[in-house]
Amino acid sequence: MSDAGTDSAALVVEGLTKTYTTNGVDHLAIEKVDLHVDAGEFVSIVGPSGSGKTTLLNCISGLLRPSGGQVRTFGTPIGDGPSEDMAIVFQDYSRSLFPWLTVERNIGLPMRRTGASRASVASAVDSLLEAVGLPRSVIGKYPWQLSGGMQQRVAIARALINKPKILLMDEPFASVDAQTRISLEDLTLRVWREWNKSVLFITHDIDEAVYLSDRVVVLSKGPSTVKANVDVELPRDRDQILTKQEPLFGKLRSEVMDLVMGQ
Amino acid sequence: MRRIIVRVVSYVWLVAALVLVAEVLLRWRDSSFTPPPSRVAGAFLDLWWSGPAHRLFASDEFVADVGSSMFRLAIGYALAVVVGVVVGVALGRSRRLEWLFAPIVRLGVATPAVVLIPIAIVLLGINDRMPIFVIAFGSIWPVIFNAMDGVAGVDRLSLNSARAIGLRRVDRYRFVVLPAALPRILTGARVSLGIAVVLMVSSELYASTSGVGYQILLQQYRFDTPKMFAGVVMACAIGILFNALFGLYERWALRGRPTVGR
Repeated sequence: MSDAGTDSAALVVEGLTKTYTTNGVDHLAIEKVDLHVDAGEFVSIVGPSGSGKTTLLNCISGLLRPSGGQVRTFGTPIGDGPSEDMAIVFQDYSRSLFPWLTVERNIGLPMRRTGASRASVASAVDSLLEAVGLPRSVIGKYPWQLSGGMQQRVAIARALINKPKILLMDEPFASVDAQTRISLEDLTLRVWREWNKSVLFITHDIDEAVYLSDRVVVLSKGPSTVKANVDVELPRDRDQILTKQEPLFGKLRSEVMDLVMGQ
Repeated sequence: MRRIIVRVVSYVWLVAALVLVAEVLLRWRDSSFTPPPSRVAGAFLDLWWSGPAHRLFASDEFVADVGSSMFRLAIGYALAVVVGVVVGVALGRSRRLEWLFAPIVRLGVATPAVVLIPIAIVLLGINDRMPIFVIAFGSIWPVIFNAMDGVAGVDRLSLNSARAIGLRRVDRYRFVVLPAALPRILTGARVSLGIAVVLMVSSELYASTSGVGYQILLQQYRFDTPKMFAGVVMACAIGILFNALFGLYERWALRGRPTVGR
């Protein structure tokens, strides 16, 4: 546990509350969530289904206006719409990528706000393809011509192109098969380390949360509040087989499981 | 090459067969009110393609009537599509505007557009502006309706994704909203093209001093049935031409989409 609210943190969420009004009835989805991600930290959020994880992420990213509370990135409150420090990887790559644009155009599209030249976009796309492990040959293809795992790699490349300091990932690997998921998890860890990002990773998969993170934030069932912060003191340089064999992994896994399942 | 031949054959065999049957039957019947296709073909050449060589044999009637018909159709239809898309997108993006104007759009879609013709004659008189107005105003509704629906139905996650990558408003429309709604917009434009062709001919039939519709009516008054049919064939040809051009544009515009063109 560390003290929330320090402005050295990459991301600080304070008292975040979200209320929906449907047919005149207020529905409290998120109740006073406090959390933070330190610079260079990898934090996962887990919670039972229906605990408003996606709503929380949408509020943090600025896609949804929270009903109360504040979100700051590096000390600056976020305004209307996502901050330039952040990039988001959504769960549903088939909808978050634009099917009418080629892979190259999809990845390069965020650079329009920087007014970069065509050549610099092309070279940025090239180096990102390599970083996310895609062959150059996909450049002229459309996303729907690629496998799910490859599409999510495209989405990760697109999220990285404007060099965000914070990556928000909303159950990014929930709809790919097990092997693909393993390699995407390791890709995420590599990107996080080599490029020195701060990551907030939402998942419903407890193993995934423990394997990836420095810290796991457990949400309660809706209205979501932060139930616990669990520090993951496993050594870095994680390995899909070795790390998961460690007794501490099993212990943390049960601890988080208990928190998620328990009332 | 073989594929092209197969395609051409698949398009024309039925028409060719029907023309042949009509030729046999109508020659046998031999009435001046029902000329066989060969006589219509002769009248077609005589009416439209008997001009000087430097004009590629286009006759005076071709220049005057086909020219003005196509001009009115092109201008009227272009107005319908451009204004229709702008209005439709605006209505589709705003709940309030949609609430205010949806009844008018529904009325427009449901009204038989030819009723505009007498109104347009009263308002504008008999000139080029009248059919252009009728075509534009009569065929705009399917464009508005489909653009509105298409834009309103753009996937929420696509829009979020566009905001998440920091696209500016103009770019969000250019790269996300319009491309997402494009199939629906084109559906509307296709329906509207059919209406536009009908309105072109019918406004010229009703009151005009030029145009293919005018020529059809003129030849009917003169009891020159072969030339009347030659006019009808020309009206069909204009419709086919515009639809073919539309089809080419549609294929180009939707290239790379998963569901179209293969």
